[in-house]
Amino acid sequence: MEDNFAELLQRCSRQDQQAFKQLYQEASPKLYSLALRLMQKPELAEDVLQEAFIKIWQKADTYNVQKGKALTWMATVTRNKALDKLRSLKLKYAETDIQYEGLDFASEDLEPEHQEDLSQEMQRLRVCLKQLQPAQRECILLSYYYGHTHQELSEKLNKPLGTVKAWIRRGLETLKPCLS
Amino acid sequence: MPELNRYQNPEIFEKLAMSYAAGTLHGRARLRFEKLKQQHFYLEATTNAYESKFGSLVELLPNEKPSDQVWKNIESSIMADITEAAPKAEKRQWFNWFKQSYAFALMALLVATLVVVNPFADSKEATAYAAVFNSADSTPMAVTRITHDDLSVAVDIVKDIPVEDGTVLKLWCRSKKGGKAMMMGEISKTGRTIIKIDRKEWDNMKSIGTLEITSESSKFSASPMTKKTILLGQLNPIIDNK
Repeated sequence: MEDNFAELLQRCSRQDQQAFKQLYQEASPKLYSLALRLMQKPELAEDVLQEAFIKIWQKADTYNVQKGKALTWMATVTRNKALDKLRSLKLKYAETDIQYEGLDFASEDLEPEHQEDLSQEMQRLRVCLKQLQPAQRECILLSYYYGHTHQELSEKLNKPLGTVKAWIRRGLETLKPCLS
Repeated sequence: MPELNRYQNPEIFEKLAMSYAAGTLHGRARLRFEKLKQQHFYLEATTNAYESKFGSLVELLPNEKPSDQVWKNIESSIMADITEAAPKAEKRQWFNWFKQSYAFALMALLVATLVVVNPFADSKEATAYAAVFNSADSTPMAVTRITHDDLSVAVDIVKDIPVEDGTVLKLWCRSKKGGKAMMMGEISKTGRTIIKIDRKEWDNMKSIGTLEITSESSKFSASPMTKKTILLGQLNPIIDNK
């Protein structure tokens, strides 16, 4: 996957509105998908997406390739906006109508054409994630994509809180040398 | 051990940074970490590195289309920002009354006159640069001015430029010494496009000889220039003689 988002971001930093529109058109489907899973409600996810893109426009000049791929930088902006919003609304997992769940999209058995679309960074991360036990991987991915707390994971997976905490801790310990 | 010392221990802060980036750090611990992250560069840098690694996970998500209203809201918000920032500079600009197409032609003439009669072009610092873009048959098609006050390049298309579907107009600059053209940005096929530049780019303007516009496929990356120049303009400094 070629990082043409980086070039678009560079142009956004020069207030190029056309580049920003193109960036939105190409990146928003993935970022909205992320916001939807974190917020669980389309109207809230759209608010997050809107705030995230305004920040991306305002902070485009702070992005540089040393910060990683442009899409991952934008994903971090979106994710942090979503978590801030969840925090400010004091939304709890139990209070939302769950519409988006599961990790089918992150299955190990991706279609070959889908695998080819992945960046080298994502392919490396997939290799690292494969080293985890399934329960460890599931907890970490559910935390990332859905923002679930340990308690929420414990309820969702019907496992003791201590077990969930241990899975996450060991999972991250296993990932650390691989990611480094 | 005081709290700060715990976070200065690489073993601990790296685990926390990783946990924060993966989204497994919650509640007050997350808030506490965010505060510390703002104070300590090494925490921020380590967290950024892990956020970048975990951020790739977004690639696995299926595409979901937000409603069209989201873009409309974003667009109006950034336009409001731009409008808010612009008035100060706009007041000093020579062009805000040039709205009609006949006025553009007059402006082209004005720019050309300023360029020809300006006697101080080589001895004083430019406060702006201007160029009239001509087509191959020497018809003025667009004008541009680059101003120091607001560090921006404004390109106004005066006449319809015949371009194929699926193409975009790109603005390039070429050094007085020649060499490869450098892309400055994409411009609209109609009306005005504003491209912001930084101080270094402004300083480099004195070495630019020509500005060029090409019609390029929207699918290809920005540079190098792949198409023939369709509009060419000589870049000239405007000097404030006061």
